[in-house]
Amino acid sequence: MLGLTAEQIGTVILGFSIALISLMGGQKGKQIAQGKTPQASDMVEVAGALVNSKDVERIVGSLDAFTAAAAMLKPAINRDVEAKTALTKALSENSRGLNRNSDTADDMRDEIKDVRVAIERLKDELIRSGRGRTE
Amino acid sequence: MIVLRRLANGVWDHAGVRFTEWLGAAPLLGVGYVLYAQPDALFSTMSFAVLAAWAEAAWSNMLMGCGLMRLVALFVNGTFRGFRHSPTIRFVASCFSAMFWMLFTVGIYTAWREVGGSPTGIVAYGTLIALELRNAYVSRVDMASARGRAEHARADR
Repeated sequence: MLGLTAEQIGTVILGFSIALISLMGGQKGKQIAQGKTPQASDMVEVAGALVNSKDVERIVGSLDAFTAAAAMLKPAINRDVEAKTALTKALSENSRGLNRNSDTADDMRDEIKDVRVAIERLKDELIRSGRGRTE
Repeated sequence: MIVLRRLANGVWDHAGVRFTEWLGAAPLLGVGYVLYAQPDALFSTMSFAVLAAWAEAAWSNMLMGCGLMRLVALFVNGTFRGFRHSPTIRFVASCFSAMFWMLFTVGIYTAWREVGGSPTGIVAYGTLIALELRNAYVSRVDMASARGRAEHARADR
């Protein structure tokens, strides 16, 4: 091919490969020297996982934002808890009122029963004395 | 003793990253030694007929020389920071190794096409070319990053 022997073709291909590898490796090495790619020293172990320290900074930032949001939510949660406490108190009062009402209703029922018995007794007395109507 | 411990620590710290380079030294030294111990090995099979015609006795010296150069560079690199040329030696050794394995692959291919022999060596030595190209890339990255760091340090001063 092109008047070249197999070893000459191989040498040319290998030369091009090495030149390309040299360029790529040189670029990568420069990036490492400038600190553009993560180095092993930039890696931090978090919960058993190796994470880039920049990612760790981002995680910490997100956690800070989350803490700030939780702090803003805290007064609303406190207000909610207070409202629930007041509601529980009102329900308790209501329940006690209902209980009192039930007691009064029981007393009234007993008194009605007594009155009914007294009326029955009066009716019997009236019949016996002949003053009551029998027809 | 302290120097030996420092050397061992330096080698061990970078053994993972440079594993393929350590691995690549084994076929260089191994094949080189076999050809040195048994000079007529190239004539024992048809697959090496073309290689034998190219350079009959020089292969063992070239392979073992390249392997030793790489071993020295790997031992020194990472341990003695004052010597900044280890990545360059590693890169040159990788390029030479890739060249040798390419010649082996082409030699076996040519022998298979012209005089016979087994073509399995094309796959085996071809894989070694890929390994050495990877080694060349890693050592080139080390070269450029070491140079960049040195320039930064000079600029900071």
